[in-house]
Amino acid sequence: MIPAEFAYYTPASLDEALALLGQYGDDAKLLAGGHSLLPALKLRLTSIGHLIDLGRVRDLAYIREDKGSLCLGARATHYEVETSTLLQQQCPLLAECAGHIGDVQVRNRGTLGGSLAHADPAADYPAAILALEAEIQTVSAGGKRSIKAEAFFVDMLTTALQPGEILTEVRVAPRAANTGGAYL
Amino acid sequence: MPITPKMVGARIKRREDPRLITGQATYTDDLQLPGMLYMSLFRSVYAHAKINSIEVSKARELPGVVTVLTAADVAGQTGPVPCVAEAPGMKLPHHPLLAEGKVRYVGEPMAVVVATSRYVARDALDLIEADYDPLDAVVDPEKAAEAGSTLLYEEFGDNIVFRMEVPNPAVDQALQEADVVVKLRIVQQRLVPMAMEPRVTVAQWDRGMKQLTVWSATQIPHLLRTQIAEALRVPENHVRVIAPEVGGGFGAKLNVYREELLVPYLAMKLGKPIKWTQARREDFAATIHGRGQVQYIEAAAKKDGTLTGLKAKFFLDLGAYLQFFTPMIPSFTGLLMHGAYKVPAISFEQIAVFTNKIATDAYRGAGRPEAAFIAERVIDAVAAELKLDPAEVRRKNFIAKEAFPYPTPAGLVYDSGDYHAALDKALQIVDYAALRKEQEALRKQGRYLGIGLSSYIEICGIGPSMLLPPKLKAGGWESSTVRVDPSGKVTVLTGISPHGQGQETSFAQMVADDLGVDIDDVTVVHGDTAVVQYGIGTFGSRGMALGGTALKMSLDKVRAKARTIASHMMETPPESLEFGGGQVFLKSDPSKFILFQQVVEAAYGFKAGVPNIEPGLEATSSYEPSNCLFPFGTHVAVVEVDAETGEVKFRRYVAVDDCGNIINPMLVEGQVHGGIAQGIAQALYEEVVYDENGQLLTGSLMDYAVPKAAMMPFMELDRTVTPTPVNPLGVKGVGEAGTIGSTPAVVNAVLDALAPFGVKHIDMPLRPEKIWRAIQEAKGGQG
Repeated sequence: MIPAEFAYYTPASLDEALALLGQYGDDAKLLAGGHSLLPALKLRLTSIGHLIDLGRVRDLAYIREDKGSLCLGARATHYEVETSTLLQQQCPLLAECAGHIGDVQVRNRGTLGGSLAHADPAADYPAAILALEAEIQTVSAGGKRSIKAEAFFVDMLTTALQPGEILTEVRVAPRAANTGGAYL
Repeated sequence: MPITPKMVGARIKRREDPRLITGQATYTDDLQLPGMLYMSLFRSVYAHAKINSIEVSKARELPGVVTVLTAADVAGQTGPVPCVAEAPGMKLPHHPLLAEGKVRYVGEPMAVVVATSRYVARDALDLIEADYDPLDAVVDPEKAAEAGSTLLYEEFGDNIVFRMEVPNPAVDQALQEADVVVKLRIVQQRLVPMAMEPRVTVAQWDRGMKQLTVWSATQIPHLLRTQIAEALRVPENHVRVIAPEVGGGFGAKLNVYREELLVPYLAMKLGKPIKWTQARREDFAATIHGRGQVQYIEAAAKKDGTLTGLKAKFFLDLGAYLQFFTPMIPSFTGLLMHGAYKVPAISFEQIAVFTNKIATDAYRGAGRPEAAFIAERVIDAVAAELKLDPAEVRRKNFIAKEAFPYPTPAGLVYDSGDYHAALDKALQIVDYAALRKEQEALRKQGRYLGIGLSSYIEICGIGPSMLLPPKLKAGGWESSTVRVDPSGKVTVLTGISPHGQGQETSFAQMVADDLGVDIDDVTVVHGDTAVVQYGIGTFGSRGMALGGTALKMSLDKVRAKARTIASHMMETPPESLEFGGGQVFLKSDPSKFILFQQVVEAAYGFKAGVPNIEPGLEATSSYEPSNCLFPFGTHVAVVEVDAETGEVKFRRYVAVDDCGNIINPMLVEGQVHGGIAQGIAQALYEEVVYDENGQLLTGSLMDYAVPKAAMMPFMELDRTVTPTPVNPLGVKGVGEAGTIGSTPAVVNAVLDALAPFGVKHIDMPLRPEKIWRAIQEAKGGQG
């Protein structure tokens, strides 16, 4: 349960994080809640040279409504998604889904963006994100882009994210009248 | 009159807990010593392989690595890993500290690294290259016993560790004459004991004093000290073993492991303190497993459900090397397999085999869950066959309460019991008659309610010294010292080594009552061989029964001496005096008293001129029990099985346990809660899985289903109280009862639910998939 050596960075902004990603390329990995990556590192299932912790990038942790869309920052924790009044009212499926993840400790640390970027087929979010036809917002040195959920998940543990690209936000539409959902 | 609430019998909160739950406890891994080095182990990835060479030079060159050693470097420098248990004709393989020539299980240590940090120690493992040729693995214990099987030890000629038969022609006759014969094949799957704290060992060698100090997460500090002294050839009085806070053991730390010899060996060799902390994955692969039996059972019964004979054949999966008590644990299974029932004739055969797996050894219940499961499944199978109520079949066969002490056909003597009372109480709590009616009604709606009973007994308080093997070099007794300090505070030194059981609380309760002192003035010290007189340790639910009785003996001595002193001072006969509220007072007139503190001062100041006493106020005792103890009870599991998904949902879980007299009900309930959780885990969730190559497929908590709190039923606990005549406290033991009683209750409940489908058996753990398949097969479908 001891990871191999790595360098650790705590950028304070997305720009800084992007710069580090650009600098270290394939030998770098982003750290959000760490609930998939850290165990993999500790079990030495993977190793990386440069770990870029997004924990201090404050403008990624939010859940808000914006121009008719529900916008979830990539660093919103499962607990925040689960307990958000906005989501409970306007997108209860996602809140319900988040409530199924692990236990309270895991939900307090694990993040929506981290889980999606990791794309573990055993994870809870992907099915909900697909059902909700969410849009995934990213940023890279080349600019911003939006990826439809159906195009985002490519394979097991593989997404449409390109090297040097950071998942920043998930957008879903509020529940329409006379519609409903349940996470089973 | 001094009014002190009686402590014994009261629900006193655990005095251990504040430090444990606020992170202020010191576990072995918390120790930091100047110049400390860290050990890691290079372990086999193969279950069975011939070692050609191990290349360690790259690892040695890594900055921070102090040394890397293989068997070639350490062979012959220490004694082997000890197995103290013996069985007639047993083959005892050499158990080296590092694999010699072959590896025989996944996780077997092949090389050891010592480095300046635990990170470097771990990194170095990746630089070691082993050249070894995989051999066929022996995984299935029944196949292991077959002629022509691949051999773990060529020199032995077969994989049989020992074969032991206890034949009885009366059993064969009973089977021939029976109205009904029930046959069962039961697989007692391997389980991981899973203490929250994995194994950890630290050692320090004082060159000047020639003194070896070993801190280890162990249940048996004194026994470990004796074994370390022997294996490392250090005089025993130069070895000190300390069990600091220990985060659970469940039997897995009732052992002496390779690492517990390697760490002190290296500390002596290198002259530096060394720490080794086991990773969770190492715990799965290289800490003993529990259970591991395949049982063939034949039971003979009359039409009315009366059992007339019981015959068993056990294949015992002992693993690749024999650990401390490995061959002894399954012996309890045959001896107790008739449980609480009067079975005139029993016979059994044990075929113990080597397999390419870590050894099995004691795990909570240790041989008795495997026995209780037989008795309780046999009763239910007989009831099902004869279409009788399983509660009635139990009543019909129970040993009557007048029959105690009851000599069993296996040669044991059950101390005391009232099996009807526990069953009646449990059935009354669940309203058994109403439940059966509801079950009938629900079945008509296509819903499957199951009611499972388990009227278990077990053997604990091990025990008379004759039961323990000579190679242990110590018996089954226990020790205590009660020391009243000059200030009147009381220190108890106990030879047991609690690691969650709570004797720092229950022992203090006893002291408070007997000496009339405040419970907060009592300290219970354990787990340090330099401080505590020799003792045996904590296992087999012996803490209160043996450690507590030893304590009682010392308390009696201290009371007697204090009475003598007080009698002299008060000029009244000793027998007229009693203790309470910090006073020694006249029973007939409590207004006449002296302070306990005055007695203590007289004992230490020694100016009162009391004739015929030595100074001080302290006593040491050792207690050798005359018999083991046999707790019992009835558990009732009420479940509903979803026939569409195979899921099991608990409706009720009622446990009526009888562990004799009780010192602290809260501690008893805590033990029962945890025990039931582990027993339910065996019934429904947990299973160690090795594939056909001996690869450990359940090697982490991601693959091995330790239940979470939400998977447990609400446990309704009650009790009957049948004191034992064996010890003066009348206490039995309760550490393992929950584990022993619960597994068959749950399995019986599920099979009772599935009775309408004709499902008679499912191997544990009863996962939804297995239940669903059994239903499909019974329906004649394809599954």
